[in-house]
Amino acid sequence: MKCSEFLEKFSEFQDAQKDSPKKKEGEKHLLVCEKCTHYTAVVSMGVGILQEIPPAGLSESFWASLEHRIFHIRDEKILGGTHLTLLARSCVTVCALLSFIVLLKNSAVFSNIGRDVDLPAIVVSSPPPGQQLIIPRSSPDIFEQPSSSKFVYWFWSDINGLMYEYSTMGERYRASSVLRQADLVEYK
Amino acid sequence: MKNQLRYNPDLSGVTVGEQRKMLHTLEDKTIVQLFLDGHEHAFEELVNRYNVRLLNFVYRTVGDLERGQDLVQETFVRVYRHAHRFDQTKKFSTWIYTIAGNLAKNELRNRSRSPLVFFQTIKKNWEADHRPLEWEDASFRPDDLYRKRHLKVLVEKAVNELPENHRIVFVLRELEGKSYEDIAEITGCRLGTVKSRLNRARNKFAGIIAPLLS
Repeated sequence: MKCSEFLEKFSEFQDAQKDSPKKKEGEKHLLVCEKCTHYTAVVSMGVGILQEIPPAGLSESFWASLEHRIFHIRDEKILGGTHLTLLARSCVTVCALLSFIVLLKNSAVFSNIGRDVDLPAIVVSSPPPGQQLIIPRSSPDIFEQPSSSKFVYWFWSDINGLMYEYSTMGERYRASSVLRQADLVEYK
Repeated sequence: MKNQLRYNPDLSGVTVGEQRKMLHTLEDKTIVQLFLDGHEHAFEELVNRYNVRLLNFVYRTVGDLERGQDLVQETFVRVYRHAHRFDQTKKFSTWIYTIAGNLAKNELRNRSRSPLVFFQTIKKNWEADHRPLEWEDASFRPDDLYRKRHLKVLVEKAVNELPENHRIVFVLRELEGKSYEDIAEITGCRLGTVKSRLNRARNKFAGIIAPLLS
């Protein structure tokens, strides 16, 4: 075996089990090679010195600090659990509310809301007994809502009369002024 | 009795002192299970078992004792938080070393980006100058003692000079006595990579310390 080969496989020889063929192969080379023997001795010595160095010890503050950190983790866990419970509760509440609203919407009570109801006409005044209410055909139908075209026609049909009515020559300007108040009592 | 403790530990109705004694005899996996079942003392036992080992591993990897201590603490905090993620079919020691190793790697990566490294190096040297005086054993010659201490410092320095990836493998093998398979799992490398890194680390280590030893 060449020295370069030994160095390349040094770890394999070093870490092989005591009676394994690999170990024996390495030892065989060491018996004849001074250079590699020195190399092995240097590594072993160096590692030996390193292992002799007493292990570093923990400082006094280590335990207190670790305990403090773990206390906070425990706290977080507990709070985290509470947060989850609260979240779950609020989710359940929202779901319950939503389902309640859906149920109400579909229920019979709310399904009638907004429908047209045919009510009988309310008669606010009636003609004296024995007489009939006659509505002249020529006069505008007061019970009928005037359509916009009908209203426009009615408004503009007597344009001269309309002008007279709103001019200074009109009857309303000649008459004495009439004061009106919100309580509908008229003062002259 | 031992088997009963190992597989079916019942800690209810036992005093704290007795609990600690019982925990001391249990395997890591059982202790983790007890911790997951709500026994806080089980976590204390895990910390007791691993604090010094982890501190030395992280310290040798990072080269700074103070920072190493912080990282060990962070390792335990992570174990506490994520104990439920531990795969109980595997070794607990491998898992905890993986966490510590990853934290150490991150630390080294962050340092390479941060100028704080220089300050820490200087600070370390200052601290060494201000060490308290120690009384030596008179049976040893002062020269020998000085040489021995000096060698230790130089060997430690030689380890710090190894490249990051090689250093972790070297420390795990030579100081922690981990198997190749465990190192592969801790570092997340293949077995072949571990072997080649370890070999290179040893070669480099020998190259650095050879002139000092001769």
